[in-house]
Amino acid sequence: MRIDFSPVLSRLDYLLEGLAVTVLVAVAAIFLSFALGLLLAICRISRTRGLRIFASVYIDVFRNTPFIVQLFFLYYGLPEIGIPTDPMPTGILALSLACAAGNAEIIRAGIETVSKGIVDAGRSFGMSGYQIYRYLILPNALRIAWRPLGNAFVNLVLTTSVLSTITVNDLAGNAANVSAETFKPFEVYLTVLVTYCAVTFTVSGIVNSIYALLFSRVAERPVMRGHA
Amino acid sequence: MIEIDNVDKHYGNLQVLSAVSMQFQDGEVTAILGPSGAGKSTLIRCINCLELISQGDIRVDGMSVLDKHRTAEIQKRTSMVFQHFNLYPHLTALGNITLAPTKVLRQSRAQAEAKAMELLKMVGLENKAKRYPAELSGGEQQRVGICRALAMNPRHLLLDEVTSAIDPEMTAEVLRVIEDLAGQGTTMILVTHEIEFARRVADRVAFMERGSLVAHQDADTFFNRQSDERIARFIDKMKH
Amino acid sequence: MIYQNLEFSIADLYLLWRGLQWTLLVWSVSMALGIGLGFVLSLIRHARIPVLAQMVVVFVETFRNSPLLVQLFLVFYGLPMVTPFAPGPAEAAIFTLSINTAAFTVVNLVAALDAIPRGQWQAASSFGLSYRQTMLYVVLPQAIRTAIPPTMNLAISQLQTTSLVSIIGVTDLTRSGLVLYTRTLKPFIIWPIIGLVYFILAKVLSLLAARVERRLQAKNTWFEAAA
Repeated sequence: MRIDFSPVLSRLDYLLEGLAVTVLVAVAAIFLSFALGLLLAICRISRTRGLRIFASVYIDVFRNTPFIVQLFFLYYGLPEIGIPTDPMPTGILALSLACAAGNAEIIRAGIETVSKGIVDAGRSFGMSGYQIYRYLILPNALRIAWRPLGNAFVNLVLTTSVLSTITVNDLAGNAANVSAETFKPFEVYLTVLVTYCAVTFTVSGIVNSIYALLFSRVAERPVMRGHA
Repeated sequence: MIEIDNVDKHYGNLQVLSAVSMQFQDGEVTAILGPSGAGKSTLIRCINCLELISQGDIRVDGMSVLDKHRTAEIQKRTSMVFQHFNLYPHLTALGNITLAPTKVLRQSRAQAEAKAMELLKMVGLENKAKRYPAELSGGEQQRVGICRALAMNPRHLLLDEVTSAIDPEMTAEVLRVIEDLAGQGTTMILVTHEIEFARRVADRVAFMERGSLVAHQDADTFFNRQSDERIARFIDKMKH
Repeated sequence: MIYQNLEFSIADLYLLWRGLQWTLLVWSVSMALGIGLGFVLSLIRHARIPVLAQMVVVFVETFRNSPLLVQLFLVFYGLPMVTPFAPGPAEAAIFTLSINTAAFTVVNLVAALDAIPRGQWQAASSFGLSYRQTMLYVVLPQAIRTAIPPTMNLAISQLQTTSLVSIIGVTDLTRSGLVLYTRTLKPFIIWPIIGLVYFILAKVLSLLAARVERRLQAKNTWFEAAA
């Protein structure tokens, strides 16, 4: 019943290796899931019926089934159709596919929140549909979506831990190994828990800094009305 | 020249414009007056191809708004200033003004920026070029909105109640800019509630009510020798 | 030779049924406990009781910002080593999920409580209502109404999260999927079926939540009309 962190410290390098894997996987999946989410959001509100249906079914399926089931499906399923699966790439793929669905909904909400007035302004000067999308709607939609996307990224970081169940040697995976070797599960998992907190605080910090850097002067104030 | 020919516009069962016909000559300043809900804003939005008309035709310099291939060209020739400014929040004043000239007219950045600075100077905002809309007052935002429209070198400038969303103490600065433009012979169609202002700048006045054109007269006749009793009452009421 | 049964049988349906029961049990009990605990913690946090309120903040931030899987391991493997408390898989799962849910509930409810304008507190105290009375009759009824939709969304998403309890050995739906997979090695049949069951559950819950929200909305309009 004695609490003793020294076994944890002796395996610190191994835990840090796990942390590096976690960070690598998270960064890769954040970028991939963002790009994929953007694409899905655009499909979701496209004029083409087929794309719209595809995107809504995709989003519905991935948001309403557990990530671990999706992960097992890919990891155990892909070899069945002749695609060999390494844990890490499969994990990154599964994470990106899953988180893209949530990101798509956030970005779509952002696009729908962009005021109709600025679209009118763009059209009124003869800008094409593509130009209005590219120069007016998307920049504003991303600003509106940025904070909720930040929450989604934090969630993604936490979800990386599930990859340990398909033997990825991330922080959670290595923690399980250290815990088994040292018989100090409490100390190991407590340390790892706090480490994850540090990672997610860092991610939140980066997300907020980017917001401050890019958007702090842009934030819309309500339109001033006359006192008539 | 802009020709409005027997135009109807309805949203579902709601008739917004009915059988409106009139012409706007080049070089003229026309004020469109009338009570709220008369269809004034809808009319100029139809000219700008922001709304589709249901019946009739509108021709801008001979090009019909019904011809989809001409939409872009008509929009290049007619520039709109909006009631709620509709500035692009993610771009500076300068960026707002130069976006369409660089993307639609394919001007070089340097050329567009030089023109934008010239316009900003004209409205007294040359030192606010790098500000974002959120950092500008309502009056300043609307002056940027006017510069943005003028940067397209439009043949016809459409102004949609440009002062009604601005604090009263800031309307003067916007009205002065429009008055200067009127003095320079810019063709303008302005929807407004500022009757005194209309009297000062307008060459002609159109009066609309419930979607119909009631009168289209030269300003002197409209304000000083008004024969229609109802319009006279409206003018009288708006003065106070 | 080891005999491996690669075919499905009726008994497998029973396995899935048991798994579904466990999933629903773990989910419903931990939602009830978690939301209840979250409610109490929210009141402590909102009243800014010294020390306790700060502890609530640390608790909330820790459990929101760490993976549920690690929390499960900490409780299931860690607690028995340092406390007399040695939970089985199901107890550990319910305990952890409850705490995790409580942390998120506090976020929703504190936001709703903080959104009540100060004017209402001042108005209530000007009529001589005590803190307790104001909370009970003025503030909480409004705050709870605001917090219900996000809390329902939380509960729906926690249903997916319960799948992680399979990793510490709870024989839930996901675990029964794993059992069937290791026996039959047919991932393309098993995981879509398991996914479909979760999907249907989520859809049913979403429908229920939408109904509650509609009724709430109707009430809100009534309140606004009365105001």
